[in-house]
Amino acid sequence: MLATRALRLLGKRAISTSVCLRGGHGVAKIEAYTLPAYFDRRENPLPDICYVQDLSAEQVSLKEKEQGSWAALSNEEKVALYRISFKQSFAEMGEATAEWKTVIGGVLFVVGITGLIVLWQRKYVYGPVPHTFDPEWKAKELQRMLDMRMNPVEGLAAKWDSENKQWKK
Amino acid sequence: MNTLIGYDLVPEAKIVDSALRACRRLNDLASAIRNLEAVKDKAGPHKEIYPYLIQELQPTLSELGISTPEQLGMDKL
Repeated sequence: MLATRALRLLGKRAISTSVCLRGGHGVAKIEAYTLPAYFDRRENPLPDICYVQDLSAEQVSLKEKEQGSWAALSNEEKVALYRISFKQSFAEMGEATAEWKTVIGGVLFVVGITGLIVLWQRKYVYGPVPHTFDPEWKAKELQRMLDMRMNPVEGLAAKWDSENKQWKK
Repeated sequence: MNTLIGYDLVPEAKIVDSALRACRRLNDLASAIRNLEAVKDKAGPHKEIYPYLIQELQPTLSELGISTPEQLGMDKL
């Protein structure tokens, strides 16, 4: 309550200075990312700031000329004025870039690295495969499956000719 | 102007005319040309809208001395 009354007495403009003085640190540094930025977008045709912030001497004189009649400007001057304010025209904005090649290339590269890591793992990290994967064991497994008539209608044993002990042709 | 472009419509000739005159008041030729480009872009696949707009705006364009992007060769890459 008291503080608001005091602030009102000081007046609006004085508040910021009095706060600064109290803090003793002065005005905060303005970061570049907090300022309005320039970007070319179809849906935002007029950005907050001009593209070229620091004008050269002839650009300054061109800007002076812009104050007068525009019919007096040549085509090149008009294009130059455009380029001061904007980076890309709408046509250039919509142009297809070659970015997709970088993306695909990057993806394939990373997949390749992963493949190398997997191969290295197979060789050096994993232990031997269980003995049940030996060919003899597998043959005995298959024989057992055929003996118990596994999937006799449409599957494995259906394809086995048990009289002639061979696969059905 | 950005808000206007945000709407799902192509502005009428009168509106674009006012925008161009506003650019003249602000001594900003680049924005005027940008407005024309934006309006053409808004028309999208309907290619007949923009020539009609330019036809309607022709008196203003000649009066203010604004060139269309086509005349400046800015619609090509």
